[in-house]
Amino acid sequence: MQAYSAKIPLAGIKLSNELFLIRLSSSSSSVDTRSALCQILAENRINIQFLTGSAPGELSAVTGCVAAKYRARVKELLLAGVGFEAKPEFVSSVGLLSLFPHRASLKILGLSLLALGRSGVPIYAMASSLSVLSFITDYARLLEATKALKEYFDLPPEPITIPRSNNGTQQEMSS
Amino acid sequence: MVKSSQNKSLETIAVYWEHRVKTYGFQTLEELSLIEVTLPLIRIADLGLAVQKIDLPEAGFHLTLIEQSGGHMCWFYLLTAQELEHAISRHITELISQGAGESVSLKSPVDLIFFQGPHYGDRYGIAEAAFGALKTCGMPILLAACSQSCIYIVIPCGKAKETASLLAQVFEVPKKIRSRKVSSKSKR
Repeated sequence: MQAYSAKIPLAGIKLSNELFLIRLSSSSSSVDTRSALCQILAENRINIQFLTGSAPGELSAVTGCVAAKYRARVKELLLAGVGFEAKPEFVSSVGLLSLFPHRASLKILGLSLLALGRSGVPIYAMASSLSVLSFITDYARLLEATKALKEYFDLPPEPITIPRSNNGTQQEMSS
Repeated sequence: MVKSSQNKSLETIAVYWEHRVKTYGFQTLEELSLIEVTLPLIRIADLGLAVQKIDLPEAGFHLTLIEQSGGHMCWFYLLTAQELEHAISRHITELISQGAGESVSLKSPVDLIFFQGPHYGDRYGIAEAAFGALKTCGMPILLAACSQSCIYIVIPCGKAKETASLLAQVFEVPKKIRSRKVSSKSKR
């Protein structure tokens, strides 16, 4: 991949711990998959670290991420089908890549999508917050995604701290 | 940390929880436009190329998100100022050739409410409190995102103040609720 001629300077990238992704979609927008997912996780005291919910056309969709340690428990709860009219889908090992600040810039948004799209790293979901663009991708490919973004953005050279994963290993980001 | 006889670690954790969840206040933006793009996942790079080429003064976004359909398609959303809706959507339409199943559509006008609070990203039940309060009163939610410590909710136009009032029943808020219409002087 050819590097972008004038890289945009950004403050940095933060990578999350390993997460478990849940996706619920229904062919009917009248099915409130978002509320159903949030309710069942709250009742079981499970924190949602990331969530998007939309209603494209006549559909209803929600994507949520929880800590990987809840993988088995959440699968059990959702596959039991309590209150759901939508079949849940799962991605066992994902991570959150947070790029900041986005400055509400279409240039930064577009380049980040271009970088990740060209790299072939999957984007399971994305959402902005006040200053951060957060991408959900495979946990094992977080560093690959970071490297792809570095083709277009001038990011700090120092290693990015990555929290320990469940098996106690720790990845390091090399510049 | 205390270790049991089976050498399994027991961990004591503190959970921060208030009777009413605190916020730093609600912010609302009225009369925005929601651009929705449906396209195959393999076209994400093309979409990025189109978006980064949009060369409009003051063009920006209030919220953006991507969600997968579970198949090979995804939905891309961009919430922006109403004055920019046609220029941005036309630009995206021109730059991504629309194949089978691809589309660019507009929902306009819409309102946005967003807020944050202490440790929102680290605690369970926050999203449920927000969405549950709105569901009880039948408030339609067009789009929602919980990312970092922020919650964003896109609702139909004219519903921002009512949504803030409904959320204030379950969240503890500073007394003043800030609201403004997005004018041409504040495009983002």
